[in-house]
Amino acid sequence: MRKAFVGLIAATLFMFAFSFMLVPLYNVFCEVTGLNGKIYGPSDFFKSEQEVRERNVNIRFLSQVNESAPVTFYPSSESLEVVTDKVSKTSYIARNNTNKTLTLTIVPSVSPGLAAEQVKKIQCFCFEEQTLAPYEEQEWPIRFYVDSELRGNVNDIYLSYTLFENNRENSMVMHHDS
Amino acid sequence: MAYMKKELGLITLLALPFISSADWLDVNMPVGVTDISEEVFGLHMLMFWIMVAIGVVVFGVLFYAMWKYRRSNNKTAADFEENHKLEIAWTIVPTIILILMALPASSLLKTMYDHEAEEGGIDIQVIGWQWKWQYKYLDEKVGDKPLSFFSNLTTPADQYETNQATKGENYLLEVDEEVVVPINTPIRFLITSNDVIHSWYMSDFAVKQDAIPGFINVAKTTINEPGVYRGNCTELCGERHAYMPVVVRAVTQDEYQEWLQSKKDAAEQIAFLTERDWTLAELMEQGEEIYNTRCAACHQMNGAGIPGFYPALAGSDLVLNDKPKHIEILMEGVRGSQMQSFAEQLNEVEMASVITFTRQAWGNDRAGDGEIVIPKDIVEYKQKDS
Amino acid sequence: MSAVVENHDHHHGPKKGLLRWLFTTNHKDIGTLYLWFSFLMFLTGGAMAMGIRAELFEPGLQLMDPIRYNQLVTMHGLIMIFGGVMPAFVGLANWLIPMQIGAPDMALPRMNNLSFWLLPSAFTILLSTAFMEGGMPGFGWTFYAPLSTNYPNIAYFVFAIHIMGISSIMGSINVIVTIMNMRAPGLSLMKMPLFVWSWLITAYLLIAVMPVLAGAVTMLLMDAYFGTSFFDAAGGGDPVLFQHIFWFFGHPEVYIMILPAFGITSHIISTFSRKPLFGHSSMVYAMVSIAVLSFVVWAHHMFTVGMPLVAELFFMWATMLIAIPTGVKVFNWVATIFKGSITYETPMLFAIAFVVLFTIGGFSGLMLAITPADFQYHDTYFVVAHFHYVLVPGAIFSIMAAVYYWLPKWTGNMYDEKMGKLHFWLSFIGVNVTFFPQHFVGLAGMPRRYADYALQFAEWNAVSSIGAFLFGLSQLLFLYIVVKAVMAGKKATPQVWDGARGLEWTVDSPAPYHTFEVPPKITEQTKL
Repeated sequence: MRKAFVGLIAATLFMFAFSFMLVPLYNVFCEVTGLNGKIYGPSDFFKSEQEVRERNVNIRFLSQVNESAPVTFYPSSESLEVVTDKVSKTSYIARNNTNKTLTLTIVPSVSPGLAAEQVKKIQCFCFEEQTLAPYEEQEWPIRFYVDSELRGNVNDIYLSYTLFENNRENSMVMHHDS
Repeated sequence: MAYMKKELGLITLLALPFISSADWLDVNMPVGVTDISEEVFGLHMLMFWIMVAIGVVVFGVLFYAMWKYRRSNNKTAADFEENHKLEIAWTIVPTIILILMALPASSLLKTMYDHEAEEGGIDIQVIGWQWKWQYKYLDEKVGDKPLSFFSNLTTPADQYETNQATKGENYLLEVDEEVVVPINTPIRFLITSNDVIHSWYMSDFAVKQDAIPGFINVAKTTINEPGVYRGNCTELCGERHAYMPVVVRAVTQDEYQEWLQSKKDAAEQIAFLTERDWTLAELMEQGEEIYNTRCAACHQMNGAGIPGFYPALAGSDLVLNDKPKHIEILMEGVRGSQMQSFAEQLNEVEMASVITFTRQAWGNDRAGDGEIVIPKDIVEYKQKDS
Repeated sequence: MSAVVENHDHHHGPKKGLLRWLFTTNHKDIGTLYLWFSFLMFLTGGAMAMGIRAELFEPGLQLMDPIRYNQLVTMHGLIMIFGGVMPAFVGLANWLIPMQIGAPDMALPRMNNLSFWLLPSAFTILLSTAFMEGGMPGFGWTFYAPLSTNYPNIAYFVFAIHIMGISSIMGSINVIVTIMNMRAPGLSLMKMPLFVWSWLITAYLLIAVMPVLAGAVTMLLMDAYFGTSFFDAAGGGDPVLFQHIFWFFGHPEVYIMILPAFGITSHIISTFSRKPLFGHSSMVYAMVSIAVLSFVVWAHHMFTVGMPLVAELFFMWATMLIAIPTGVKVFNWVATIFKGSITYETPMLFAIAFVVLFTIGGFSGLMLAITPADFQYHDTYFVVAHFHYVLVPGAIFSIMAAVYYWLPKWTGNMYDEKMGKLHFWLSFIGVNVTFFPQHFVGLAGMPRRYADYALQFAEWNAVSSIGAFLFGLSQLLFLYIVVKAVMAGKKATPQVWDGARGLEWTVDSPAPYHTFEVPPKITEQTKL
């Protein structure tokens, strides 16, 4: 009876730990399947001459500022016709509209989710925190390519960046202030 | 996918009698105005009738047994506990029925997820806010930015809150700016959120996708019939979850182009309008309208706010005496609170009007410095240090 | 409830006075505590439901602002699930499992006491938020991030959930250890009564998923107060991750709330048909299949978050599969009734209503499983109708059936049969008038968690509210019936119901304070 009791306690603790394991497991799953259009870390361009397969894909760039942070943020070019397996460049513009320095995180999202894995970023402002001085405007470059592994029937990709202000105390989501 | 077309056509055919009665007594899903919504309706009705059939059979046997084998009619119970043939049958038959349901359902789902680009489509970014929707037409430029506007509920508080006024026909489903789109055109809605999770739902298009901050979700539709269609936010997003409807007006391609042009003209007008002189009466009239639609929900119709939650504007020291700070709050919001930045939501004229209104209403004109704000003040604020 | 003191075997009876209830380690006392607590919570959650339906009686805000409305909706869900249904089933488990397996008590009687007393403590903490600035939680019982991570008083909510979780986990450990170790000799697993089986399976489910709920609320707390970003995209997290973790708990949770109901129904239908349950082993296998499948269907609550096609297809098919073992159970109950010799006392009325109305809830559930259609149903009243059908005329009716069925065993008195039938019919009508129209408004597009609604939904909402008031008032009749039966009534025999089988029907009514101190002999002849 003691064995059963101890075993059940162990099972309970394991399941509690399991719920926390779901966090990295979820990220791994997302990376492998492209769920939710999450993209990860910088990629290198490593395609050799023979591996290159070219076709046209249209990418549309979107921007979103979270919780109406006081930053004007938009893509310098709204869409690009790109060729797969070739490196392309574009940028986003961000302007701090206040007299305070702001630190920002910019998070990408790709639709359709299946395409996320094939949008490979070599250089992106989304990899690190960005800082804008009062009233400063910056242009943030992105260098990327779309891997020809992309499914045949996907010709339009939407790449969206959401800009978050880092100071969570400034979260404006519903507070009943206590 | 092509091989299911016959089956899907059959489903639509079966659903036809119900399409005609679909509006009766509002007890059923709308057939809607897109190819997909019609197929969804057909699938729904197929499922419904299968459930009814199963119910009739199972409950039929049950009610029959309840009556036939009541004690007064059957003194001795049988004692069988199994019947293998029957048990196998009632495991296999439901499995087959389920497979028959799963096939058209899977086929329709694949169609809904089809990524193939369609010619001549338009893209509209949809952003959920607490508690309104913002729309950006990515293909249409106004100046150098995409056409963008907010869509706020216009049902007045005296209809829903105090119940003093009779409720209008489109109670809780009317907005100041409708989403105008052309019929017979593939539309991609790119849905995201500014704050918490919302959800964009149009039952007439069978479109529902969650609006998640930091991510975009795509919903596609092609509308077959012109008309005004009304939908809702379908993910609990806080206090006014029930007060942020969606209204889409589908029009012909020509009317759509006209509407786009009118939007571009209006934007140009704003530049002109900000330059001209405004009388106090004009500012107050427009300001009151904006206040009632955008501000009264929290700050209340009488400007008294809700103690502990939303500050009072009537008699507020800031509103009475600090015009620069007042403008700053509207333009930037108050960090760490629920007061949003309205810079994107109101143009210079609207902004000046509503600030002026609050500085004058409820006796504030006598109690404070009485200064009014004109559109040029807002333009000046925007040009600060840039 | 009083229990007859056994005079032989040199046992003293229960302590006198209130301290008895505070310190008891007796499974019957603890069962009684759980049942009364659950009834109190049922009436509390029910009062909130009355508030909700009163506000929804007409379009417009008549009684409360939307903040208060959202709070009522949230607390109604939390109280009914964690305070009503789950403790009621635990109370039944405590009363019945030891007797049904011929054991003198639960394996861990002192932990049993703690498991109970954690519950009033947890609910005191949760309900105390009503008196704090910021008020009660108002983010729905599903508390999705980021709405919930930015809400006042969530520390109390999280703390209360942790305590409830610990109570459930300890209770489940007790159930499993008891069933696996303390069955009377000769009582093999496959001979066990179905209520015991249903609880064995439920207990494993609870151990598997309550810790996951604990993980989810802990992550919520950390995001809100300790600067982590589990569910915040800005920090590399994802609001959808919350939904996955929550529903990984949430889906098995709903089976936790129905499996004991299945067990109860099997007992009652067999007794009042005077016929052994049809397909005893397949009933067991069906419950096991349902429990196993319940782990792989969670994302059917999330069809609109933007999952890839492959995931949506998988979850659609897996969810549809659950219909098969569930259907087998319904057919087995019908086959048990078929060619029986049936009488319709109150427990049987509730049990048959369970079979019919739960099946209707199952039909709407199967419709919800169909993903393309779910894009229309999700987050509308169609979902509300579905889960209330499986929970109210489902789980709650089974609890009422169980109370009527076993009350004579617990108290030694027969309840008033006429009043019982009246309570049944009022409840039956009430429940259908309340929830059937919700299918209509849901299909017509009315979203859930709406304090106010457009005019085309007005008629059916008014009807639903009237049904709710009827159903709510009828439960006061239930309270009266139960209290009366505790205090007086026609004396019950040990057998109580002539078709009843099982060890609990071999002891006196009311059951002696200590039963089966000597394990009974189980032979081929023992009627189980």
